[in-house]
Amino acid sequence: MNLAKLTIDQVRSGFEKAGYIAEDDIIIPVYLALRLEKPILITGAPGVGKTEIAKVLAYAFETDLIRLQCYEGLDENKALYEWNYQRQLIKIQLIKEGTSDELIEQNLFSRDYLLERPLLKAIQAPKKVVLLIDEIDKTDEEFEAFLFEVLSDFQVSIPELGTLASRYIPVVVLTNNGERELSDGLKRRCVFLFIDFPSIEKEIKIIKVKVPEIGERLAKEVALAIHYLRHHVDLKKKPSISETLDLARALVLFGAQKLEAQHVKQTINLLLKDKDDIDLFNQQVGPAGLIECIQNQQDKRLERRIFT
Amino acid sequence: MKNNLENNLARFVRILRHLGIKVSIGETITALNALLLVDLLNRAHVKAALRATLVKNHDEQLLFDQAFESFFTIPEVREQQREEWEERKTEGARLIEAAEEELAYQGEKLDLTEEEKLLYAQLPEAEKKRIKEYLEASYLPEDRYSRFKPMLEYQIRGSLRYWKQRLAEEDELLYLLNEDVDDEVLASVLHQLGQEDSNLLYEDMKRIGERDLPKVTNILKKLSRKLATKISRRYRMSKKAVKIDLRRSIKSNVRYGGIIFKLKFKQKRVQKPQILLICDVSGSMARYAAFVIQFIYGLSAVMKHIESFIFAEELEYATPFFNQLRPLEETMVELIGKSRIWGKGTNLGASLNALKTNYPLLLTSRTIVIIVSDTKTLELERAEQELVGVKRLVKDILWLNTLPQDEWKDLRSVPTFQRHCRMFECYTLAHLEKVTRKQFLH
Repeated sequence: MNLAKLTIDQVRSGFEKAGYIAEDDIIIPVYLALRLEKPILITGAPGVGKTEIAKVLAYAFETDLIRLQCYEGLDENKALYEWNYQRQLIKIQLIKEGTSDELIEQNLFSRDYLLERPLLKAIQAPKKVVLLIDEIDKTDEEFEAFLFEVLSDFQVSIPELGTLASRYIPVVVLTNNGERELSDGLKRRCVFLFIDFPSIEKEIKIIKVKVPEIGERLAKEVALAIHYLRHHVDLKKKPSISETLDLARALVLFGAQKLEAQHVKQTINLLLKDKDDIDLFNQQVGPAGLIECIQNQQDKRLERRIFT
Repeated sequence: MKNNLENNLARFVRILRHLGIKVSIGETITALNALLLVDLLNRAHVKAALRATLVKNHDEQLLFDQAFESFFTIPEVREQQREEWEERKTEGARLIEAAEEELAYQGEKLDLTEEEKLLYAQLPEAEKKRIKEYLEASYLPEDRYSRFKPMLEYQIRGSLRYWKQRLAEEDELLYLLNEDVDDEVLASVLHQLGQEDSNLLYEDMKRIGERDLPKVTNILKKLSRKLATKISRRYRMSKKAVKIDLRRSIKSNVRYGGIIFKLKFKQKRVQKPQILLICDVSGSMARYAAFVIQFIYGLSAVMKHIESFIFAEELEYATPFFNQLRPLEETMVELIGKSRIWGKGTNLGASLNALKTNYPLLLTSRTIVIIVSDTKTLELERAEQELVGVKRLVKDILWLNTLPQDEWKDLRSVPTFQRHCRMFECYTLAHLEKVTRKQFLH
């Protein structure tokens, strides 16, 4: 993967090849991150396609994706490297007699006993890989500071082995759900990308690409329904693109040609994952109300198209 | 071309910084490198490149968009903006000159700043007349004149300060000096940005109309949710400064034949803080009342065990109003209807004393007290003493001050209270967002 001569069109076609519908607002930051060899920090609501970008990059550039899933309590051992204690123990027992202590120690702290975790794996990879650091906001500040150092130099010091520097700087994708404010230092070193919920037109395109069996009318109605739920109902968890696709697939399974109230009733659990949200929906809009709202929206869009 | 690009970028970054967006030199250099990689004639690409490299927060991106549209505009519009700015500058200079003529004491000009003179020029005619008459009536013989002049200037300054606040509240200040900006392009763009409908986040909360209240409620809910998530999360303690947990260490190392390879450490249980909100609903804060209620409403909706009080001359317990999960409008009507203190004078000292006396169990070492007030109160010394008393009992006191920071220096109450708490400027939703982010979410 030669990024020095990468063009915007190549990135765009890479995304298209992977079936990820993206416009310039996504393509340009990704292109810049690749060309400037900087990590890209992607934020946005859950399910808008943040993690998918890392997968798309790995697919488009035909390289490996190394994923570090962050969680509360994640530390260096689980992210960088760890010594294989069990193996070291067995080795000690096997060579207990007849070998000098110094030799044992040298053997025990060699590469054979090193368990590479995602960060070290990415640094030591024999080619340029995509390193996905998912949900960085779930870690604590200490880990963030540590990560920040690794991402600055792409080298790691292991006391027993010395400094290991990367041969190929990996493409780093960090995702953030915004649960915690990240440090200014980390943000400063990244190219920033915010992914919003897609427009109706873009969502129709996504549905058609990901669920090709769906009819034109149904795709449009699904997109309108989701758009309405996101913007007009005060939900705790707004339906994301993945939930839109679940709904579209379910409707295809039902053999639906258009969205009807009974479909909404049957599939509402795919869209809303919180009991309070479902109650709120039934109370404020309801399946029949949603269909009516879609119809109104469609009429308005048609009107706008005619008069503008 | 390259020089122009660098120059324009530096000016644009300066505008962003004026708007409160932090942009480092490193980020500016990255932005310049990014610009060299995109088609400079493609406006959308330039915008996307600058947005990705200069702004690292979604809310600030909205501000960035406005700044970009104003700064990177076609030359004709830019020229028009510049001409308008020039006209305003000339008019401002004329007003200052006229004010100088009028503000004279015994034929000698008063020692007032340009800003003060400009402010005088914008006063209502009746007020100008009153000041002029006062000056004329203050005639003194030559020997006492030099001693009396500074006192006279001090009085006029005080009056102008009062009017500055009042005219700003009524949006009637048309000419403001911006001494930081010497570049006319920057000045015209900043002026242009000031004229535009600002984003709700950056709007002074007292000016947010009823029409926008639902949007504000949503923003506050989002903020409250973030706050609640953070508070309910327990981060694991690091290996530093904690004790070894021998029992867990032995247990987890049984698999290595009893040889202790991995140490386990005692983890400190992170206790959730108890939030206690005290909101000023006195006359001077009346215009923030809607925001204050929504703030408590939003927080109460997502966080359990939040205690809320409102105060003016006295303290009133408000938690029950927010615990019933009713719509905001109903809560607001009931609270205002039942409150005996709404819109009255402020006595923070008496209110804090009532809090200590009547609700001692709420003030513990886990309690974080958040005070929302403009600091204007009766019995300042008593209020200070009571605040110190509360400070001793609780974990921390955060003060969200609804006065703009540049007015803090004019009030004695601000430094008095600032000594005993952490005070933050908080009159827009963006301020509130920033305080929440920095104090709770970091």
